[in-house]
Amino acid sequence: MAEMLVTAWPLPDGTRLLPRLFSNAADAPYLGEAGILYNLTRRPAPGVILHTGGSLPLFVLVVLAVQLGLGLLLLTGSIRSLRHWRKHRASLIIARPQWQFGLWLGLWLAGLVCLGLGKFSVALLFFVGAQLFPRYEGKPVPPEAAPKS
Amino acid sequence: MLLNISRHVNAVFIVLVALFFFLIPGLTVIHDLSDPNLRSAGIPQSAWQLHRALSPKFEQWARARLGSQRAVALTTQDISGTEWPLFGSVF
Repeated sequence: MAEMLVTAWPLPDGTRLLPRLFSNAADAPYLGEAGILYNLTRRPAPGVILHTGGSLPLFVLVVLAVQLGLGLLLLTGSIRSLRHWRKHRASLIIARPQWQFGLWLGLWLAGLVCLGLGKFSVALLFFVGAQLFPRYEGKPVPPEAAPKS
Repeated sequence: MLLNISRHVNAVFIVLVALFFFLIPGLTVIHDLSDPNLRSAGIPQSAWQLHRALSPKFEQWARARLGSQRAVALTTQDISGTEWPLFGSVF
């Protein structure tokens, strides 16, 4: 039961991500979630003695650790990257900033249109693509300021 | 500076992705696992939540499926097209 709950990957909107992905989007998109609901609501027959499993299986702990670890990595990575941008903005070399902003805006608008049309996965691709902008690099370090080995 | 806006929006997007796809699901599972009904004969709270989230979507899909008459055009060899919708509905 614990393995089923953790691998179902429950999103805040109530969707169970992995069962949804592994169901047939064209013919039976909710098959996996309906199966889980069926399992969760089956009760033992009257008089049957329950034997619970005791501690959580290692698999559950590993999946939870990966889930929370990836989330924390994304969160801290994003904050660190933004802090780096704010601190070194003046010294960054950005090629064609207007073009880059236009591309970024275009990707976001395309993503929002797809979101409005209910194409969530396509929208997500556009939003992830928008993460590639702005592209920049640091100014070259003058030879006298470079660390001596 | 326009790129300043894009940099901040990108950061907010990643934070939302981290919360929506990783942190909130992880915390939800921890909460679900602490349900005493999982260790007894009761129905766990997560089942009621799943029922509330799934039922309206399932009803909408089932009505659209029947209205489309899609099953009429499928052969009996198309297992996922003819059997899977039935399995999900029986569950």
